[in-house]
Amino acid sequence: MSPHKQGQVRLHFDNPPVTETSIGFYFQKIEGWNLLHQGVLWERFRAKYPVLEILPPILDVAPQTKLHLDLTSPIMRTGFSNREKTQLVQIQDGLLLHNWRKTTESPEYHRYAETRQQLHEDWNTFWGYLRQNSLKDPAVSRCEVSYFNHFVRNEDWKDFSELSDIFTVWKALPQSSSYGTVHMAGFNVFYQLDSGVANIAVQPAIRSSDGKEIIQFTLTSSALPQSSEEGELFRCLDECHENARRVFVDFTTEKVRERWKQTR
Amino acid sequence: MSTLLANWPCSAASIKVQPQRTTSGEVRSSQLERVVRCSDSAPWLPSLLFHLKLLETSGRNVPGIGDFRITETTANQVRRLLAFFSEQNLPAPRLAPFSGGGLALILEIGDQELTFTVYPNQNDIVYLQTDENDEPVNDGTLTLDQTRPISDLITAFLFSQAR
Repeated sequence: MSPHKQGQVRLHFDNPPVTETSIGFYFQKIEGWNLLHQGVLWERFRAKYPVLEILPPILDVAPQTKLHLDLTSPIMRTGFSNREKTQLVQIQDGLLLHNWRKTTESPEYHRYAETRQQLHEDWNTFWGYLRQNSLKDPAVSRCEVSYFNHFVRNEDWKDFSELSDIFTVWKALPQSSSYGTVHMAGFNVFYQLDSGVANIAVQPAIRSSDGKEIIQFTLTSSALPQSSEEGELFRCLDECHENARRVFVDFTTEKVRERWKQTR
Repeated sequence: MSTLLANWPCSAASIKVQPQRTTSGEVRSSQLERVVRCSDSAPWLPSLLFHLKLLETSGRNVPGIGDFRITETTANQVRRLLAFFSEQNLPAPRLAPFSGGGLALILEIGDQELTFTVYPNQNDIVYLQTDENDEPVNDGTLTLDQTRPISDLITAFLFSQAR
């Protein structure tokens, strides 16, 4: 049995590759909810999160070529963020998430415990609003924890042949008769765990903000809560987090984790 | 961003939403930072990134002709433009390096061209639209943060072809 299966995984990096985290809950649409509620709800968050961002909706359904939306209840995803734009609450009919994101001005990583505490406050604010407006409690269908990690070319790697130095599941190609080289590579893995599912996506990409070539490593861990009681939701979220840590260890090499332990 | 198609008057209070031409992963993502994933991009993007990388790593200084090497900063600016073009579902642009470490990205439709030029150590990009006689019809400078004006410029270029 590998060490991390015997108990909680301990991970501490001085120089983690994570640039953004997102944790929270997906729930069934709330009867009676509309866009005006979303605007009024912002007032409850505004003192802490004074900046409004309008985001494209998350379509949490199977891919379709066309979707028909009811004009009487259009979907909008709003983000309420703090002045530093490092903490953000995402709200859409059907989800509430809390994101931490790294910025040039505030590069320090906010650990799960801090983000969880923020989500807890957000959830209570949201829940209180629903109660005061005689709306039903959300029926949560999924708890989710996502980590978005960036490996920047010329900083963290130089060539795609180094992918096997980062990911345990990637094997370097043997010498081939075609003398080809790997120009780009990516993969997607759905990983079933005892208490949830993890999705690992490794994708070459361009970061729009600075044009840098990156390999984006997205780790999403989700699980179904047994009920929508607050205690159960956060227990389930903790489980997602623990699963994410285990999967992170399973999929990344010891060599690269050692590198992330070192201060830059 | 999704494209909204509204037909008025319509029989029912509904609109059709055509999800962006991406994988389902992107429209489901809770990520805030904008990244253009090569797997979801225009088909020409990986190939142009490869050629750009070659210019960055193996660009040559040819005595008597010129220095065609580009810096990482210049390459980053070009990649931002390429990512933007890819998001706008544009056809493949042409890469045209020139002596001194600059690079032009040329969009060609018919006999007309829209060129964006990136110069080394400069934040501004220079654009030039020419007609079928190679006469300039529109030019100026922009920064890469001015995505709306760049988008308007491209839209005007595409519409000028349609007329």
